[in-house]
Amino acid sequence: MKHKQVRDKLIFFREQSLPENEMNDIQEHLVHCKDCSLYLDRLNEDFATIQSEKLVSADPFYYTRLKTKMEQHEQSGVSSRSWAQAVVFSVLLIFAISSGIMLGKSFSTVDYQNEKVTSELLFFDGVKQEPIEQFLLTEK
Amino acid sequence: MDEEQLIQAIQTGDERAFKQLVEKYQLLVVNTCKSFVHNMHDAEDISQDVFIEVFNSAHKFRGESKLSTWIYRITVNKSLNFIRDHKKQSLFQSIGNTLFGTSQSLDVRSNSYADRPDFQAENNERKANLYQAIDSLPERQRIAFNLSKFEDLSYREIAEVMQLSVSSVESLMHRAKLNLQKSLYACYKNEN
Repeated sequence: MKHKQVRDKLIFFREQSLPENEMNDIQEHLVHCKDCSLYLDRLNEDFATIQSEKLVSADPFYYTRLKTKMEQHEQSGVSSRSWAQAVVFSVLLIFAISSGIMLGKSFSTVDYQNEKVTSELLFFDGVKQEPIEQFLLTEK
Repeated sequence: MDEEQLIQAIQTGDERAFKQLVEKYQLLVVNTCKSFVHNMHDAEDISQDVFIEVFNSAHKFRGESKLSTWIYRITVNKSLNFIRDHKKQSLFQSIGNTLFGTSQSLDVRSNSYADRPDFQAENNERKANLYQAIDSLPERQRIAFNLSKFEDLSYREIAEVMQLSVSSVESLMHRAKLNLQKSLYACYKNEN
């Protein structure tokens, strides 16, 4: 077996969840390959770390601390306050946007939907305004 | 008091029953939180929120699943929310630093466990690498992996907590192990 094939399966090998023939092939490879067996050792050590991280005995003062936190929660009413804050901010935001739209409309002087007004608008004609360009265009 | 009686007593606001529940599930909840945040202080903080939620939502428990399964679900959700909130905080902090050039640091965890003083003190780079590899897993793979390896839950139990089929959990675990192996191997190579 190649090194890569072995390394891709080492995590399953250490859990003995591979078919028997693959288990044997890997076992045989590990006898001769120092790198792969080192890698397996590292994997085993890492997984042992997980087990060592677990708490095994309960903290006798845990409930007291929990009760204190629960009392603080009741006193401060954190959840209701945060809801109220969210509602107030939303109302303010909607008010600000709508008043912005209203103000924008009231300051607008041109009625672009009125055809009479738009027909009176004079558009800038660059060729008329700058005769040198006209001259260049007509020159033969 | 069996589980049903316990939860019924909590629903009526019985503090003695609640204390009994906390004592029974304290290790389960704290260890599960710790498997996600890798930090005892945060794990205890989240675990307290879990029990507060259990106390406040006891009336919502209908007994369709085991009490431990329901508590696991709340614990996983609270832990993931905590991680998301901290990621958001770090993002806002980095945006703030970029915009205003402030290097003021909020109480936000570093992305790299190796940078944290508690890890430096322990000089435990290996543990840091392992946690980083676990944290880099996609969320559902991480939940399945943590419940399996830190909590020793069977695939059937994980399936109940995650509300998935057993075959989905098997597939998540298989992919989680492959991804983890890849990340760890990259770390080993860098060390050598």
